[in-house]
Amino acid sequence: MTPLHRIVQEKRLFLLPLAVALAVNAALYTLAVYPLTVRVASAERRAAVAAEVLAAAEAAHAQAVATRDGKARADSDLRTFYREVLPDDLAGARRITYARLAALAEAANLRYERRSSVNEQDRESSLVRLRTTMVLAGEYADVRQFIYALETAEEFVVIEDVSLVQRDQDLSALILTLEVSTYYWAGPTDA
Amino acid sequence: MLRTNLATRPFYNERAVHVALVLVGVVVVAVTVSNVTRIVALSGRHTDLGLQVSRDEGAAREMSSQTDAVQQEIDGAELQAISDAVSEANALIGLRMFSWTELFNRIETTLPPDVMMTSVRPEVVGERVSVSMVVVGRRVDAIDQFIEALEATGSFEGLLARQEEATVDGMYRTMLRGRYLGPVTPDGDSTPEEGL
Repeated sequence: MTPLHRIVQEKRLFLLPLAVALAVNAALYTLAVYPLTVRVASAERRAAVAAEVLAAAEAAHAQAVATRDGKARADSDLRTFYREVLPDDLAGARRITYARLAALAEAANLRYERRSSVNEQDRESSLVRLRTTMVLAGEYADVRQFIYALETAEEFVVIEDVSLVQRDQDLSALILTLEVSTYYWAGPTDA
Repeated sequence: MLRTNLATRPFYNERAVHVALVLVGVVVVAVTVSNVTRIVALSGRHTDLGLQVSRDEGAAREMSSQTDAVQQEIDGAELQAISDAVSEANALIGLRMFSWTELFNRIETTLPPDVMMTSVRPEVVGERVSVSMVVVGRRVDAIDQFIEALEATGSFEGLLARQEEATVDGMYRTMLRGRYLGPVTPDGDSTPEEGL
């Protein structure tokens, strides 16, 4: 009998439980620990995907809410602009261009030569534009004064185009052709 | 009387065997504790992750249905119409805010004596203001000097003579167009436009 056989023989009361415990541990690892490790790794991947999906859903929701709120705010701002800044209708638009422009020109010592007005509406726009083309004569300083008065006036009048031509016979005199517009809301959509 | 022949039982170090057995026992206990601990921890983690996944998936479903509800409130055609109207209103406000006095100040300080401006028209698209102007000059280099001087003010950029023709009286009529940055503040910034 070799010493090893003899040790095993004599210490089998200790060795057997140790061997059984080792076998149970190996079985535990194979049947429980390793499969659980794999399942947890898989669950972590699923959790990461679910978190990404939730984040994307939250971002889409925030975007939709921002769009809805932005639309409501823009709608409100547009109503304020149409009702409080722009003239109410053609009569209001005429009031702030017809007599008012002539008075401003006179105050700036510009001679009034001719004027034409037309109201027009783009197909896509809900605003009607009252466009007035004025031809005035005067000196450069008076032209500057008139333009300053017009751009600092309370009324919503837009200077769209300015043309200056020098009169041949009088070097100090200029012909000012001014295109000014104002706008009023006329539908068709209730923005 | 001893019947065993002691000479046939070789000696071995029993203390060393005991020590080895104790060490193996300790290892077995440690491995067992480790396995049990890991099983408990992994089971808990697996349960937590499962709960987290179902909670996140439920929240995502809820969020998606809320998003659908919000999107149903938004009429795409109406949104486009409002967007167009806002762009139009902002362009008009931009034109209204446009300071012709500032523009004339810039032009006056840069216009050479033998160049005359005959027409100016601004155009506002979004936050970008472009200015087209027609000038008449005796010499092309005088018009070029005017372009350089305008850009040197910092209020203009990208000025280009888009069209040029000789007039019957021997002058040049040039249509200039470029981006107008507005009056320049002392720190070099141009003033922002206001809008809706």
